[in-house]
Amino acid sequence: MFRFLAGKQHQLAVVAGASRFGTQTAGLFSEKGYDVVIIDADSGAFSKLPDNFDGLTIEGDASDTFVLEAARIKRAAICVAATDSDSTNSLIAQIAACVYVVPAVYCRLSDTANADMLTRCRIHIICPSDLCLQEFERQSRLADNGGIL
Amino acid sequence: MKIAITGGKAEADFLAASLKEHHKLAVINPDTEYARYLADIHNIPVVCGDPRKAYVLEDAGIRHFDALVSLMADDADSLAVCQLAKEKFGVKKTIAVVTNPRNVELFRTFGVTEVVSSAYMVSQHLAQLSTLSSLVSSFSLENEKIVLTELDVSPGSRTAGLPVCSMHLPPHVIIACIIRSGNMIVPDGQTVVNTGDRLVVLSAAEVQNKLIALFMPEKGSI
Repeated sequence: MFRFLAGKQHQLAVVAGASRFGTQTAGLFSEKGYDVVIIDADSGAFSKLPDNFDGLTIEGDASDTFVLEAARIKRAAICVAATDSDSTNSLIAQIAACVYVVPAVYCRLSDTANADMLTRCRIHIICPSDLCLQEFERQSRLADNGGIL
Repeated sequence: MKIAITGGKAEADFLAASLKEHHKLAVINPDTEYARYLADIHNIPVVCGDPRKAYVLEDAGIRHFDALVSLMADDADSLAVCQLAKEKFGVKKTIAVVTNPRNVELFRTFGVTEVVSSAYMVSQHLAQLSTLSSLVSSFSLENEKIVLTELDVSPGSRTAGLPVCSMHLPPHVIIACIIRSGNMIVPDGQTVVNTGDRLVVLSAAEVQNKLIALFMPEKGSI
């Protein structure tokens, strides 16, 4: 918090959505020396933030451009859309990538039906169920021997 | 035309009622009760499901429809539905009704054909009312970017008595016609504009005030 207010220009990471994924990512950014702003409509969600988080919290709708500007999205090096709504994440990621030209944009999606539209805008997609499947394949070695276990 | 209506309550009801006579409709509503109500009252097929899902749009058979109207309660959902319909189902025009007026310009840049917000429209309308005197009426096109202004040339305005070419009109302005004693004149650069002429002018919205000032008395109230 103090580091941020002192105004030293560290790289800025904006995390939209204090979900479990969002809060953990925000903690990771703090640990790596980023300035971090995390946004959520419900201030209670910030209680999930880990101890290593030392950034700012903003209570508001992260898909509203005013709120994103308050989070200084204009100077962000990285933006992670991590709310629990696919539509909201998709909108935030498009705003970050196309309007504010944030260099690295990540978007969490459960349904990837229209994900290629986002990848065309250089948005990285993170899909929990795809990751689960990959991990299951790895642990069960299903892909290697063609049978379970 | 083939038109899909997604989400919404009273708005969906109204659109279905006014469009069903002359168009082929596909109505998709996530609310089971309301979907049943719409189907019963309008006697049209209604798909009950989440229009953000590709398989729901597939079920509704909206491929290559002419238009889709999204009335979802959440603006982000409306954008998602419009983009999915355009990208994956080749729907030609998408229309999103939004609550946040800041999403109007934004969603257009993201490929939605028309974005409608009541607050946005009211603010544009009030802004026009407050800048224009009673001598002037105006009509907006292309989401308020282009305006058609009808105005009377006031006595004492610096342009009265001048030919069009010497008026120093701002850029992106064209005097489409002059109405003089009930007759229409299409002006060229040499046409002289007189006090009492009524002009119909097409211009970019941002130069409208400058334009109006040219035809008002020099120490006018604008």
